[in-house]
Amino acid sequence: MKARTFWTFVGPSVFLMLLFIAAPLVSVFTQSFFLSQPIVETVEVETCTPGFLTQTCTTETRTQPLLDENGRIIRETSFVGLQSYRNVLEPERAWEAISNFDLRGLLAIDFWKALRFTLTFTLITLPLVLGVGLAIALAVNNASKAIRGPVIFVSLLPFIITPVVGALSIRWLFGGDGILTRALEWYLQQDIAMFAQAWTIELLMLFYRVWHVAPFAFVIFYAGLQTLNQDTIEAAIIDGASRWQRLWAIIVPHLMPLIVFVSLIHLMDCYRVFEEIVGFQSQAYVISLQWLTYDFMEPDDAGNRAISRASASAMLTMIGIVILLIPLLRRTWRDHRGTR
Amino acid sequence: MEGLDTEMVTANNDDAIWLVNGYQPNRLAGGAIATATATPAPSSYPSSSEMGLMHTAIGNQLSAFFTGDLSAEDALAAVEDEYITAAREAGILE
Repeated sequence: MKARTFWTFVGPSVFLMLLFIAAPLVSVFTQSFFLSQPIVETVEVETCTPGFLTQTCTTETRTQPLLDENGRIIRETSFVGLQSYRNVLEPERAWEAISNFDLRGLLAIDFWKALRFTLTFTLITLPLVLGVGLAIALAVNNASKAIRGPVIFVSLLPFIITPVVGALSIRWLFGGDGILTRALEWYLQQDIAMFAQAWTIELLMLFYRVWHVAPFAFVIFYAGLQTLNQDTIEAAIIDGASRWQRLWAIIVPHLMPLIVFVSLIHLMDCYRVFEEIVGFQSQAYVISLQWLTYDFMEPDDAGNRAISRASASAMLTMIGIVILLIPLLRRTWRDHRGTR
Repeated sequence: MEGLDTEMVTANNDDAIWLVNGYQPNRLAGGAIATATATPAPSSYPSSSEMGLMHTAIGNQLSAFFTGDLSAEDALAAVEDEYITAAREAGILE
């Protein structure tokens, strides 16, 4: 392809990626090292009630921000280095908990609590998504042509549902008076509260995420199965290879690049788990790293947004994703060099 | 002002606590009058930025105590930690 044609096609995409991905990333990176705060002064204010019966006046000291001549709050931005990261990670408290083998103490710190959940969630769903996706793909591939269309359609449905709506429907199904909780209670003859402790919420979250993402893995694997060399399979059958041996010796190696691809996408998506926390309203029990960033961004009751801590937390999330991806990326890189 | 006169107040004495001449306080007005005349005046709930930050810290951290993850002391220590961090960032605390 001519260089000119190449850039005409790729240019807009590169420009948008720079504008919407690279630029915000640089901005977040810089903001995580700076702290912008209003300049406050402490003043004595006398407030008087309206003259209801008699007028009563009280003086109190109040901290208020300084205003400039236009009535805007004066803010100053200063370089604080890694202080925001320290505020998020709380290394002293964390180290003290680790050296005392105090897991509870460590998990009492928001970041480590969120990291614990995010990591377990990501690493448990990954094999389940791959396994379920592959199982559906194999089942559909072996199904007769007549029912293949409807089966594909039905298996894809969970993937189409908006994530927040899917999470909400799970919460409504299993919530206090949800129809499924009622059914389970009737069947087991005991009270069930799925949203009253952390581990049941986490189970539902795992179930929901696998249910939602498995169709994506299924579509990719199903496409991969179409390019499987049928001669190899037939040869294996003639040689007396069992179904299991065929799966591990022929199908999985054939799908390996796709498995790596699905794992990459899934790790990136899953480490940013957020919809489940909001949809299940599980903040009191379970929080994730992405939710933590969101919580820093939300104005607190004094109207402050902890932008610096949010930036630091976002950067830490990104670093986490990169660390998780390194083994897979190294593998892809090796394969890439091998084939060239 | 039309209507805000003694005649109207005597006609509708028990409908509200009136700040108009001619009002006869009844039993239900007792609390409001006692509050208004108390010396020293009852302190109003402070709506300061410190209070806002404290509310946020309490709201975020006490749930760990309610769900049984932390003891009361640890939860309060976590509240203190979060308040100090947030107040430093807001420039209120040195």
